[in-house]
Amino acid sequence: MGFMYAGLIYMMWSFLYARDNPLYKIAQNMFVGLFTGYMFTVGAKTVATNFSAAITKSGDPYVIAGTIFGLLIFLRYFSKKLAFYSRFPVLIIVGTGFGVSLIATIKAQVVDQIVDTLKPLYTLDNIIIAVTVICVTFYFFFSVEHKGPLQYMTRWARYMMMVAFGASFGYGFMGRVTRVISSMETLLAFPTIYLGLIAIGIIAYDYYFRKKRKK
Amino acid sequence: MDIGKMIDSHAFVFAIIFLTFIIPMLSPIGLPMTVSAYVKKTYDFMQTVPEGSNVLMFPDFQIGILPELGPAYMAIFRYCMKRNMKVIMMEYNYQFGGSIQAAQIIDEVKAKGELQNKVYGVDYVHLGWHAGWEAGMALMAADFKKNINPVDYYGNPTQGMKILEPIKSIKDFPMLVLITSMGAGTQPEVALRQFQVPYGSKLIYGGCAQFIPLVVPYFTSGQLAGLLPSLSGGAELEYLTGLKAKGLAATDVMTFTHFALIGLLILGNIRYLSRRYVKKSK
Repeated sequence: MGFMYAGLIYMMWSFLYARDNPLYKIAQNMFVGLFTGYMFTVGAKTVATNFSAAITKSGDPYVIAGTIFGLLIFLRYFSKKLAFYSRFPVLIIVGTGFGVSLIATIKAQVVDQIVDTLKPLYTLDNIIIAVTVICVTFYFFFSVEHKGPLQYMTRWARYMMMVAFGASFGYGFMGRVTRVISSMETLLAFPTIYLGLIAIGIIAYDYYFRKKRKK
Repeated sequence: MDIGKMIDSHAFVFAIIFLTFIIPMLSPIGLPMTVSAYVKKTYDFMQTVPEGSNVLMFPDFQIGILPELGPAYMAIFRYCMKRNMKVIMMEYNYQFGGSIQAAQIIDEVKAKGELQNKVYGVDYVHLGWHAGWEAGMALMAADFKKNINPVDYYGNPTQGMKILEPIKSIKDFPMLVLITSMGAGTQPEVALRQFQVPYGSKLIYGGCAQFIPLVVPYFTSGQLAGLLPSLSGGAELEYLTGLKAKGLAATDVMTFTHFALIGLLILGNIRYLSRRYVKKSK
């Protein structure tokens, strides 16, 4: 298992040396296929268990009707004439999703955030937050030309946005590093480290012969 | 050898980053670690949750994100087990993958011997993936037992499970833990909309590093009770709870690689400015 795991990691990482090569394609397609299969299995199993429980035990009409109605989505694959009816379950999904999310969106994502921004200006942090929010909001206000004293507001906004993007980049780098750490733990463990030595040997061999061919 | 060309090449960057991974992994140094304010506040909140309380954990991270978010999830699970809390796990991630990784984490904690005195179905349970995403979460929050799967992740019937008996709605959970790879604009906001706003639930959020700057405003406003940024959040929580594991082991590597990044950025800027100076002088 460890060898397979390490082997697949090396196959994916072969992209760094040899771009789109057969090993990378095999690993990539394996991942897509396995993940799709897993998603389908979990999804289908969940629907089937809930549906059978509704029919045999609870008799919940919403689950039964919802499952049958949801199956209409597949009509588009079986009949061009009936494909139109596959839109109704989609309508319900979109409508209920929109309705359920809209209820608390204004409070959670707008009002509470505005309230938190309106802090007393006793500390430097609060002053910077208040000034930056106003400047960044003004940066995207295009009805007035950003000239004269207004250009200082937009300049401050631009600098603060760059700081935010830099922080985002730093966090993003940390996220990518953490994913490599786990892979490296597997690759450096015994006996999968031998695969690494084989990989280094292959790269060295290819590099040497490529240089020779160039000469 | 042209040093400028060497610095410009991708191979140089790869080599530096590779070395910063290898050296601390083969020979750990044990660099000092500080705990961020986010994790300290999260831990302080966790301390206020009474022993024996019900905790709802969402392993909503997709396949491949386990190295990043697994340590935080495991640290919280181990902490809950240590304080005899009743842990219920359920996934709503439409990207899938969380349930299988949560089961892996349970197995790892079991292998450490920390579940010896715990009974599955009484002290902890893994309910698996649930359909419906936000709508499903809204239904579950209103009427818990009616809107969970009839069987758990392992195929055991959920009806009659002792751990689920006293649960009526989301209000019966003094602590919710959302560990998700879904970005800002999706799962964190869904949890706030369906749990925090209608029911006043206290939610700890652990997420991928690139989304943390976008979620911090929810933490500073008090909407989130806790924030665990990526692997560093998990490592710091392991340090605070005293439950050391993979997260802490990786902090040396993270420190080294981040210093390497800063060094490469400075080097790149020096190279850029020197090329401009050479062009001007010509």
